[in-house]
Amino acid sequence: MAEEVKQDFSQTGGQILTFMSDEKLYAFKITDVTDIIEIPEITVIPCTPDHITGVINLRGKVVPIIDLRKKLGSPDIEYDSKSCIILVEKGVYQAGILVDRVNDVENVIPAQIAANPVKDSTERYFITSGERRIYLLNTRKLIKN
Amino acid sequence: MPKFQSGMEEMLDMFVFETGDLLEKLDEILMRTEQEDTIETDDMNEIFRTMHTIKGSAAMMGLSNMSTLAHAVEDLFFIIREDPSVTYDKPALYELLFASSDNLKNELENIQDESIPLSDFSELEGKIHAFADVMKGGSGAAAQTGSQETKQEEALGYDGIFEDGEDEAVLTYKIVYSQSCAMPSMRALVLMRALGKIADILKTFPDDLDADSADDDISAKGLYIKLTTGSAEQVEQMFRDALNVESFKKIDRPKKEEKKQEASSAPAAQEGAPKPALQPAKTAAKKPAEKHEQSMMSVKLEKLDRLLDLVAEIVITEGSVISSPDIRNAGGNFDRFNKSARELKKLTDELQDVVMSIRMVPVSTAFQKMNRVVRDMNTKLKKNVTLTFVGQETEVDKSIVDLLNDPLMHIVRNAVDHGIELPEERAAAGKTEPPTVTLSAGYDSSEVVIACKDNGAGMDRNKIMAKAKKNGLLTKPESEYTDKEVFNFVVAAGFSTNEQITEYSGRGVGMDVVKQNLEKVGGKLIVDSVFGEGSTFTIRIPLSLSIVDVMSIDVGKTNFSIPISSINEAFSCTEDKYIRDTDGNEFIMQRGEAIPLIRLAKHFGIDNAETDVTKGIMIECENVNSRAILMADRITLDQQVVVKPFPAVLGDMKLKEAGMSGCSVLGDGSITIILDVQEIMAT
Repeated sequence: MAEEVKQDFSQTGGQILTFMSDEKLYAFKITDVTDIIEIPEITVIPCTPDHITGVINLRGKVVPIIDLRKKLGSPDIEYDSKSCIILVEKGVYQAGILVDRVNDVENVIPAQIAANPVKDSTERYFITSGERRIYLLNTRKLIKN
Repeated sequence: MPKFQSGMEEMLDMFVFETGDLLEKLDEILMRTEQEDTIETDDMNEIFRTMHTIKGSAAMMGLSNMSTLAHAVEDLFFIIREDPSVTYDKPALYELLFASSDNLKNELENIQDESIPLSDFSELEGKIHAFADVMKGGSGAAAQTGSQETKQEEALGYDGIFEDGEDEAVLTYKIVYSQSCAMPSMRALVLMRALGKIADILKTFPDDLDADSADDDISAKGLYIKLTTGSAEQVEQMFRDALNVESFKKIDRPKKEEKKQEASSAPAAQEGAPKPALQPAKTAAKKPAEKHEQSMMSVKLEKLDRLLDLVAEIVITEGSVISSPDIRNAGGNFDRFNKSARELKKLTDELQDVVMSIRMVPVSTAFQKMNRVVRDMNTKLKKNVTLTFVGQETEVDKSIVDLLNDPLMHIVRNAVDHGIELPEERAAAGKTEPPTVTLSAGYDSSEVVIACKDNGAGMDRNKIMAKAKKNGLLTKPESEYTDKEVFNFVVAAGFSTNEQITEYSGRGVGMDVVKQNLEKVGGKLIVDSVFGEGSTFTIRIPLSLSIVDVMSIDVGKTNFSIPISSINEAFSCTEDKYIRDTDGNEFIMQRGEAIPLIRLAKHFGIDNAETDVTKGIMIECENVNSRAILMADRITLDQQVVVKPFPAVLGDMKLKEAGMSGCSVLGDGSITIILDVQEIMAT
């Protein structure tokens, strides 16, 4: 099914949420995003990989937080007031992604989208928007592993 | 093709639930009536009605195999009901009935699995029909020919399909259902409902699809639908997708005689089932049953779970509101607030009790199923075991009853197969009392205790010990093992003293799985036995699976909670109690015993935690057969929490194996991690 959705997006285009992490512009498909929140108190869970910062209480629900910098192997920084958590959902998998700052919601058309030829990669599409290059992330892969 | 009619997915849950329920009830009646000489009229009607309902709902779902099987059984009882004097071979009849019930149950279980094809029941149906033929002898034949004649008469087209002055846009379709379709009127109704979304249905022939004669009309003459629609293509696609539709055809306005010819071939292929006579019976029999059930209603378990979750959250939030530091720090007089707070607490406690009680069901539902197991084994093994129940009215949470089914099945099978000796052996041992397996249920503190006791051979300690030694299960000198420890070997993985593998047990798998499953929900399985007198398997499960009393502790910056049920004692340690051997193992002396010390900070790799044993807090925990002392920084509080599983994203990170069973949101919004003491001790 993931294959189908992939085909769809590079042909249909659509809205994406762009955000910064380590000077690079990334994006999620807007349909994967459920919320954007400030960084609340995070409870550390022992015995989890480094990129799992911990879990938060989101209106009574326990949601794990993934540090995008750590996940993508970028250098650590102190997150500041501009940093925030993007909540994404894919099937039963729900997670908050900790990013440097959220940029914008943009509409992209098929002509701007180039699919990543490598199967099952973390970045699924490369989007060209004027001078900038946006890396559209594979939500499922990002949160499932 | 999907297994059931498209568009019926939302009905599937209901269908599985109701049909499953009916089959359970059917089994109960069969069990009860099997030993009696005659079947009471009430029971007979009940069986008949059950089969009829299953037939109807299976047909509605488009499950023609289930529907025809139910139909065959229904026919069987129709004969007995119509003519009570008819003679038949009762044991053979019951074999057929149990086989049908089992087959239907299996089918239900597999229904959602697309990879398993629909089962073919024709062999069983053949047997049932043959049985019915024998039974009928002379009596059934007359009724049968009668019904066929009426059909022949009716085999004409409908009148007035094409009226004068009709709009050109009106389309007329003729649909012919396959002969194997048990209740075409049901199919037609379902189809109409789906069709209603994309087309305006003006008229159908036969007019009233609910009417008793509709089935026969449709199977004899086909179904005509007159409709207007924006997209004829969509409509035709829907006909194509509908189950059991053999052919459909658009009929043009000119009046042709063709439809009559087509229809005339239908009744010839009709089976000789006395259908028309059945229809009035259905309406007559169904009504009283509906009246009975009006004071009950079935609710999705999901909704109850949600309700329980909410109530639990309310209880916890209430606690955090009432004991909020803001109020305590505000000073002044809080008499009225305190009074209201007490009132609120009373109400929420009651609410919690009520919600919990909704989910409570007697364990008898799980026990009753064992009747079947024992009956089947008695037939095969000729052990003639009596199954008795004690305290089957004991109420436990629904989720626990569901959970009990598997373990009980294994344990009861074991008791009958291994526990109870063969009649000859019993006689040789001088046992005069009948072989009995007793299932009992009751409460003990905050646990439900389910025990299965047999008065069979009991277990031979020496035999088990020898086997355990052979399998390399011993961890300490043989002489140090207590009876309890020895008998618990029998539930270890790959352990079976039965040299022969039988159909029911002896493979040594099963019991260890049962044990693991019980332990997952905080339950325990305890084995005890007296050689020559019998064995007892006891299951202990906490009363509530979701709300747990815990003691919360801090380790570094992390907050953990330990279920109170696994804590023996919490204490501060003095220097003289601490022992460290040369291998680096640490112990605490408690009541003259050296108990292993587990530093939680070290276990979970947490920094900045207390390392001085005299400053931290010691928590002595006990499991079935081991003890350990966990060291934390400090105790924060005792409280009730609602255990939630870890989010799916963390699912494959082996948190359970590391000793964390879940997490919980506390009243102040912070999150605590629930520890699984057993796993911590194991690692």
